[in-house]
Amino acid sequence: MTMQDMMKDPLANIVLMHADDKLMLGHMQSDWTGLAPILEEDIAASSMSQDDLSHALVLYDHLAARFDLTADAIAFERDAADYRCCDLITIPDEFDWAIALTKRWFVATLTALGVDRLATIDDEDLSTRCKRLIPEQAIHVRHLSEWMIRLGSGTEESRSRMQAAINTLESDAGMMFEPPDHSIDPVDSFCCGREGIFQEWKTSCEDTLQRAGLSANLALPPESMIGGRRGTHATHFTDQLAELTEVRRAEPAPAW
Amino acid sequence: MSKVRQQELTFSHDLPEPTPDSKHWVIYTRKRDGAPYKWAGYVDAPDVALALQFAREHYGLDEACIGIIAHQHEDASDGEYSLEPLQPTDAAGDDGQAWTAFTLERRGGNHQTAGTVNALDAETAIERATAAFAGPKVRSIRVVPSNCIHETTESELTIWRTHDMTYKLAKGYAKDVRAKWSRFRDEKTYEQYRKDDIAKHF
Amino acid sequence: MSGAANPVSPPDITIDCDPDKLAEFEQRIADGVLIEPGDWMPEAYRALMLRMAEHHANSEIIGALPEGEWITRAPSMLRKLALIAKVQDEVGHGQMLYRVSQELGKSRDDMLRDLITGKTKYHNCFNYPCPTWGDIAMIQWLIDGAAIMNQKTLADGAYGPYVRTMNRINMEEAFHFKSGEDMVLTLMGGTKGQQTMGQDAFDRWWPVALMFFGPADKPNAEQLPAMKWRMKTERNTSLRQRYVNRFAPAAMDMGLAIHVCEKDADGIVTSKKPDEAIGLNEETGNWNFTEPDWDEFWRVIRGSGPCNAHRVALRRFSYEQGAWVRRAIGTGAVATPPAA
Repeated sequence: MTMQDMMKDPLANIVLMHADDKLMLGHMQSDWTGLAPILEEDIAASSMSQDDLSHALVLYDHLAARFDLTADAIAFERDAADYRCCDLITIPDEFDWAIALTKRWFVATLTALGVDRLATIDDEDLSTRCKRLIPEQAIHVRHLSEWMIRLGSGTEESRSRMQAAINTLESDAGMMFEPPDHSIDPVDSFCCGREGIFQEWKTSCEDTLQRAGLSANLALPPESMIGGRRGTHATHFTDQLAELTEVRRAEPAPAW
Repeated sequence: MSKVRQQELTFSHDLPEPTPDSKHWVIYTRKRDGAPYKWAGYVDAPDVALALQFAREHYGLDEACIGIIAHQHEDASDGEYSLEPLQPTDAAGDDGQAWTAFTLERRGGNHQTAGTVNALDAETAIERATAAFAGPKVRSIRVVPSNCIHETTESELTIWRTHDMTYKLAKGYAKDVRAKWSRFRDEKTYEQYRKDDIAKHF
Repeated sequence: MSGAANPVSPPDITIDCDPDKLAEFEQRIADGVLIEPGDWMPEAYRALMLRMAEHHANSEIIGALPEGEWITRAPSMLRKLALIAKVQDEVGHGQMLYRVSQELGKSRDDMLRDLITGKTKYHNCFNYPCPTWGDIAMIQWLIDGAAIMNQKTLADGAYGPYVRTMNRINMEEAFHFKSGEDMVLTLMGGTKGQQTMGQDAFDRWWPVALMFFGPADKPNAEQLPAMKWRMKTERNTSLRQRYVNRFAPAAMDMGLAIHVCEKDADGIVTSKKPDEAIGLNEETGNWNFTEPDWDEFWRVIRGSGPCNAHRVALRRFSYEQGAWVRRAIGTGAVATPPAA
């Protein structure tokens, strides 16, 4: 079994889609540790970055056992084209909290729906792992939604910053629904069809946005649009991947 | 490292307007059902919802945790610290509002919940709590009106995570460290170093 | 990590208060009672305690910056998780220590503003650079190791809120130190490249670790307020000797050589020679060592270290970037939680 066997496996691609989202989301957000707007929220956001990376690890461990690999090899040693994350995540936030928060909230809301579905799949190891992630993912969605509402309804300044962040990210957010592999039937690509999961995600987001006094134009891009999930990544993704793997690549070693 | 962390920043403008301190909350966590809540730390937050949210993601993840309570610092009244264990008083009565009592067992230790008493004021609440909860170890009593104590709700029971968190605990490294030392030091020298470590230094 | 060892000698203070109250206060400390914020205390005690807790809090949040630089580059999932958790702990310690300081009469915002405008200081060791992953391993082993030894003595102090916070912090520092020891052992038991990385980082951090405890105290330190009032409970030189006794043999057993180094203005080693003083003095049972360069110590404290300007500027950037969020929640607008 090799990395390439894993990349050819349709279910593995779906798992990787969520795991890679979590890896890059945790990676991006963890750069804020020590620099967030409020010390208490710095700590909270850092806990959630750790969760995101831990959840990625839980899913990589499943794949590692299935394909006789190691979780670190899956996380650090693939070619850029084999990462299944959406490029929404690696859009630089330039330490703008509104961008970082909105991005995390968009992704977390989708991941919550994704792990719900993976928990029902006919694979005991995978479904057990995903069942454990469900309540933890719910914590994230709740925490992030409350912050969307708090900042959307805080001051005129915070509302306009949040709205600007949504406007910046909304078109890329749709690309989270790109099927992760050419070989996957779009009906199966999120275990239940991308249309269905998109509608659920949109409804959930819009409910929070309404409470926050914010709005977004959330649309499902045509299936023909190719992006990160099928390996055609933006430069900001490859830049982040280079950073993620810098130390490991500089000195190949049996252990770090 | 992100580009912002690397850049040479210079500032020519004034600082933004100061923001006043928000409210001061005292946080307690409980390890398992039925266990007392123990003092964990403080957060600053403008309201209880945010205070509990902050507490969950900080103190709720220090060690196993299934529940958190918070009260504003100004709502607590502390009795004197006694060098000897407190003697139970014979203060009786149960008129007045409910107060949650916390006991403190050692110098520099953490307050923990003991139960509730009724009283009309804090001073009486401390006396009645001393009657009810002063055990052989208790050195000080704190009381807080029970209606000022806020708790994480049933639907928020997931606080401590289920995935492996040993990476943030010293014990998570014990085995690896021992194995790696064996390349450099014999078992006896290592064991002496480790014991000395705990006894004298850490 | 921590910067509790305030390296600047306390200013001359006048203890101008009721002698009976002062005697009672000092008796309470001698008896081992903790002083709490609501208790009577000499104004000088309050001022010194605030100064110490604020300096410590500043050190924690500035201390999050050098290691924070390597979170995005950590070489494995475990190391990445551990480093985030470690830096997060520093922020958490900062948050708790600012709270202790707030109780002594200064707002958090005032403390952050004084820090980023250079009015207050933080521990000197954070003014040094972290050019490689090896620095992360050495900081966690050497500097956190020093911090625990120091904070253990501070947890034996007399001010209640500070003592409780130290006890809490020390539990977390044990993780930092163990994870640091694990990383250093991994490097020194690894490839040639990893060993070189470890040795180079050790050369940069060993003298900083020796300076960590601060210069020697005055001869009458025990009679001066800081020790008399149990703000600190052990002399700097005594802590440093205990530290060397423990870390020098451990480093040497791992294959690290102890050098006396010269550094350039950027904190990078330009030349080094073996520290010939290093060795166990059989008579005293203590390890001999070469003192760090105290001229450099004072130079860096006065603001001319390799990273002083950068560290403070990044904190200021963070303070300014986040101001709108603090303003937004400061309004007290109550959020309605979304439906589950």
